[in-house]
Amino acid sequence: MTIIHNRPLDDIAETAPTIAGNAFTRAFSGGSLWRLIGMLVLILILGFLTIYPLAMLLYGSLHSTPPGMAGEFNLNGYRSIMTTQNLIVLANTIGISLAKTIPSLTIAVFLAWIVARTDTPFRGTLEVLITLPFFIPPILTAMAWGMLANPQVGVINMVWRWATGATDPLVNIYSYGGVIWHMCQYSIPFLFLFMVDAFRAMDPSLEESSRMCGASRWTTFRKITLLLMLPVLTSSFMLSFIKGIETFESALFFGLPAGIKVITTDIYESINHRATPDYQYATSLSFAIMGLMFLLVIWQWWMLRGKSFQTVTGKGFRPSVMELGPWRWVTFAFCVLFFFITVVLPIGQLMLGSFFRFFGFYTYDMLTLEHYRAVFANSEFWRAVRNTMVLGLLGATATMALGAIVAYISVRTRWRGRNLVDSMAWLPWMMPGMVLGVGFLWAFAMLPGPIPIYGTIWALLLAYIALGTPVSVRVMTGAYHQLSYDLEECSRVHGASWFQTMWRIMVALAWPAFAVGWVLTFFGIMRELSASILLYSVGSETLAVVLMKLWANGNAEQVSVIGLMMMLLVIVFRWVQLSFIKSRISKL
Amino acid sequence: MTINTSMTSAIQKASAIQKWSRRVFMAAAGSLAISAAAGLPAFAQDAEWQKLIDAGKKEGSLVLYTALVGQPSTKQIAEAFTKQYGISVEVLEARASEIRERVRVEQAAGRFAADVMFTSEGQTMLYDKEDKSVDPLPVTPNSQKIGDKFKLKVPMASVMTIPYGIMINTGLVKPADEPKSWKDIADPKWQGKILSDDPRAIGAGYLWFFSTYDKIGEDYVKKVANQKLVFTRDQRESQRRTARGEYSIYMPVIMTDFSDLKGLPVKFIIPEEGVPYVLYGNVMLKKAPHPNAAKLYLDFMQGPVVQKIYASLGYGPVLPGMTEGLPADVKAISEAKLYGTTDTTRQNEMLAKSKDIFK
Amino acid sequence: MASVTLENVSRMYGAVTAVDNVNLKIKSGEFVTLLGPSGCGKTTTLRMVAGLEKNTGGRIAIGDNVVSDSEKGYFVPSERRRLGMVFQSYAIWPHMTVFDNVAYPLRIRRRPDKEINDRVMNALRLVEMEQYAERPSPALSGGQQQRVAIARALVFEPEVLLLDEPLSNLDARLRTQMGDDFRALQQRLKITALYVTHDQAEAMALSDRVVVMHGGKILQVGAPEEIYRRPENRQVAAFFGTPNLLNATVKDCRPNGGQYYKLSVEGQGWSGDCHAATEMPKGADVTVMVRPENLHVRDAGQVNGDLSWAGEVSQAIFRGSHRSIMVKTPAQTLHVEASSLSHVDIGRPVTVAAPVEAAWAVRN
Repeated sequence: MTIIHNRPLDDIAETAPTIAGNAFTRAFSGGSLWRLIGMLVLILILGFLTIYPLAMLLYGSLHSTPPGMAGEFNLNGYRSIMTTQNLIVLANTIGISLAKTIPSLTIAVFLAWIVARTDTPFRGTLEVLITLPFFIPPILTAMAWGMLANPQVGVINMVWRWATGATDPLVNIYSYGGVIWHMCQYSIPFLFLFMVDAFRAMDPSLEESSRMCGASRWTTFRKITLLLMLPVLTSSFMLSFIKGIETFESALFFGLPAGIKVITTDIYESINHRATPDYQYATSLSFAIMGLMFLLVIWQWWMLRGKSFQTVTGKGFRPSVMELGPWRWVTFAFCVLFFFITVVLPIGQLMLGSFFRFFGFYTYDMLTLEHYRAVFANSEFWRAVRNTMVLGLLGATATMALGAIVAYISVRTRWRGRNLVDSMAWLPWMMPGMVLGVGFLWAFAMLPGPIPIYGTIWALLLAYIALGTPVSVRVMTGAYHQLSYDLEECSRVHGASWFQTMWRIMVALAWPAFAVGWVLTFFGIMRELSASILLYSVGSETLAVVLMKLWANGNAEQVSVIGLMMMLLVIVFRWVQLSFIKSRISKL
Repeated sequence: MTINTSMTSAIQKASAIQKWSRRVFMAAAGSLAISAAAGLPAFAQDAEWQKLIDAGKKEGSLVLYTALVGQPSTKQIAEAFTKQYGISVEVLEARASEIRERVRVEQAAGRFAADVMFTSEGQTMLYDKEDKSVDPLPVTPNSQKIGDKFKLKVPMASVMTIPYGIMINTGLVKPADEPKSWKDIADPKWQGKILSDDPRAIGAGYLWFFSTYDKIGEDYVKKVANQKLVFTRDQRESQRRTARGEYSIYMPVIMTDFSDLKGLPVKFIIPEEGVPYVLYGNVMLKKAPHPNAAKLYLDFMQGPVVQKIYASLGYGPVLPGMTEGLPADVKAISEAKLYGTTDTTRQNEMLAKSKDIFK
Repeated sequence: MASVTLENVSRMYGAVTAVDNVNLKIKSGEFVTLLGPSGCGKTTTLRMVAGLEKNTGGRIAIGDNVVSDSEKGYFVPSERRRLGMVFQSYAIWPHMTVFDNVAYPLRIRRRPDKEINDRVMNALRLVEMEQYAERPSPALSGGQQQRVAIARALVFEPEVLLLDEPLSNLDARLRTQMGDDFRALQQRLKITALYVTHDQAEAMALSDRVVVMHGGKILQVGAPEEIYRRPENRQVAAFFGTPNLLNATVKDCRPNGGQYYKLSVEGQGWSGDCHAATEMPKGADVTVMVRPENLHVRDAGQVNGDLSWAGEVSQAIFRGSHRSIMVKTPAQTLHVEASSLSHVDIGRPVTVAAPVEAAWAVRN
């Protein structure tokens, strides 16, 4: 018997606690004091990036004048938004957003499944191609669709009339359908990108076991695949739904002529098209919406509470795909059809148009390369490219790093305050971009004089990080939810510190998601205008600002040239990333 | 946008410019003898002005905020200014509401970054009355010479007018049917065929509404409202849409865009009544870091060099006699009769009216 | 290799006590198994030794170093405890090759490449996986992954090797084989091993000592045979196999000259002698444990053992290696494992007998 009953461990020479490692490793591996400090630093960073600008906006919503002007605190802003008119507009907005989110999610899930889990031919190429529309500035696709599907002379309707002899148009883009369709063009590729790696990373044995239990392919897909994807799916739904409520270009372009009003056009109008910009109204309305959307976030927490979604276990997944037999040509046809409608039609239009003097006038004598020459000879353009590249590379990397840390803490630790950081990271997503831009302007300009952020490139960088964090956190949360704890603990036990584990195991395993998040963030930065236009300074123009100037001056063709070049960049990025994944993850 | 010429060439030119500016000023003083009576004695003013030029050159640069986005003329003018004074111009462009909020916040935070703002008369009123972010205008040699109707109560040094007219698709509208005036727009034959800038929000459509409501009357506007107008808020894209044949008429169109659309089946029509317009000019921002350079720029924008640039693009110059020798079509637009503009003080009332009429 | 000492170690989750005041000392080079049903606290105990969980009470030492002392708030994180661990899921990192997986603990410690190469190949050779070094790890079978996990846990010669149900994901035959291989390896390398399992057979076959846990507490610690044959209480007795547990009253108690006491007990319709660990007063209620494999079925009335019960056969199941016979006696139905060759008819009156060494009494 060697049980020692309540006897002190006399034979153990207690060594003085030697604390090794630097402050950082201690912060996350050692005592709770260091963890507390680490958490506090993180909360401070997020607070500065998200709470601070929002606090300025909150002040704006409660104060009769914007920050910096004499006025008084009142609730006029909130009182003025309480109108029946606004209620109808809100219902309309929610309806439109739901009407685009549900089909988008369905199609995106289907596409992700086809690309990641079936043996559909050319799925590698399709994966890159079907995401392209997401990366084109919305005004360009709006223009392209305006040309394709206007009821009078739209190409689709002309073909329809010619083929059938009908006099009525087949489609009218200036309608609810048009608004929703244009939004879908962005949300389907976005959701697809967001989800595809989650599908890819899933252990097929989970599906196979369901099949063994007698479930059909369809039941398996519904009950197992979808359920295991619940964190990713609910996140996707919320990101897409909330973005749908905030989307602006589609409604302005296609909704306005049809008399369709949404919340954001109302906000836009209150800032840009009133005698005096009514910031109190705009911010109050935004906060009211934000409150509603926060309920959704709480709903998601509630949905996912206490469930495990670990599909990547240490038993090693075999990323095998489902053999569809002849059906793979059906799925292939579906992808090709999707590609044709959402990519070839609009982008083909842009590409064609970029070689003619004017969009839509395709005659021999209008053929020209002048738009390309004009863009390449534009020194301002090149400077903006340089600025945007620097901001994009730095911003996307910083955003993803921050997102990875926040997601890690919220998903994989039990630390106090983890829900706080998670919700802080959500905030920027719930504020319409044009209002948040103003929030950043107020926040950075009102900093005490010696903090030189406003008017420098750092202001843009910080705003981009804040704007990108919600997506980066969501992407990484989805990825972390799938990794089993063993993989991480095993690394710790075998001598790796918290940071080494993060880097060598967690980041390495979540790398596909990280890369996708990076690309999403990078192009988010490239497209961002609302905050950029308020924060850029002389010499730090971004590409979005240059595009806006060209568009405002009626150089739509030059804008498309740039849009096409952005698309080319996407293809390069995605190709590098996907072939990299191939060489690392799926060596099979 | 930073436009630099080397300092050495600037210094070489300095004496020539001095002579030039004096010559212009003398000539102007002569020709406008009557109005010059209000000013100081010519020689004293000349000396003052010379001091200003020297001080401005010492400042070396100038920060210009402009609400006129994407215009190549901005760069052209900045280059001309740099050429004349050796002062570089840094330009920051953003839309009216954005640039205004930037200036307001910058000033509230004590960051006085900008010297001059190029904006519209209506916005100037807000800068002046609400934000109190502008300084009174300086008296400069050219400020005396502009047309009397462009000498404003608000502290804006007028530079040019943007004229708005009617655009038609020549493939859809026969020459005989072409609308000649704003009144023709109300003809029922155009029902459903007009694409219009949205009159319910500040912009070109509202400008048209404001001036025709004032000048022709409510009945006319209501008649147009019955035409089933299709609204849009994107000026340039709407021109293209009309050119492609979606609609027969687009109104009101920025007349100066005619040169960009050459080659397309469209025609720009100057309505018989005249063109509603927006008056653009410069304001001096408070605590400008380069106040002297700013004054030079204000004066330069009202001088013949810039006025000719704008006239050649079709904008209405504020300095008389700038349209000489221009091609006939440009000249016609540039000299088009100014019909009416908006009044900021009545904005809320008129917007409500517009929303009521156009639902 | 080092010893492991747990002193008054507890773990609370809110108000729930998962591990309750556990004291245990594992000697250097010893193979100790924590055995118990799921939820008994065995995995939590292992994870506290690993540093994956913090003990809320008591202290833990590895070798001469205290690694966790809840009173002093001192806690050495996992990575500085110099441990090797094999997880139930193996936790083979799917983005690495077999070699990379095994090399990980060495790379983390920034060993020279040459050394990494030698030691990884050595470790792989130990588990007979050297020819798979360059395989991507997802391409391995379950047994191969398990070998890789063991190689990874051993590669940097850890102070202690921790194993969390490493065999539970393997099929029965592979499980036995891997278990035997692993035991041989452990004895050859003299590794201190702490092993968690809920499988009694595994615990028996592998361990030097078995720790039986239940409800967060240690019920008994001892060599497998001792625990199997001489459990300290009814719960431990019941945990191994399906023993016959009979209620009885002590008639007489005397030392039997050795370690134990010899009891005369009487149950419902039977009486006889058995052994016990402690002295028991007359009239005390005890549970007498007789394992099915130690019972014999004889013709009715044939009594030549120390303990016997009269009854009739109610059920007989052929199980290949043996035959399970249920005999209904006045006290209770007894489970007997008889030779598979024996032939019994249902309903036949029989006598069930057991030698005195096979009967073990514990206090109720």
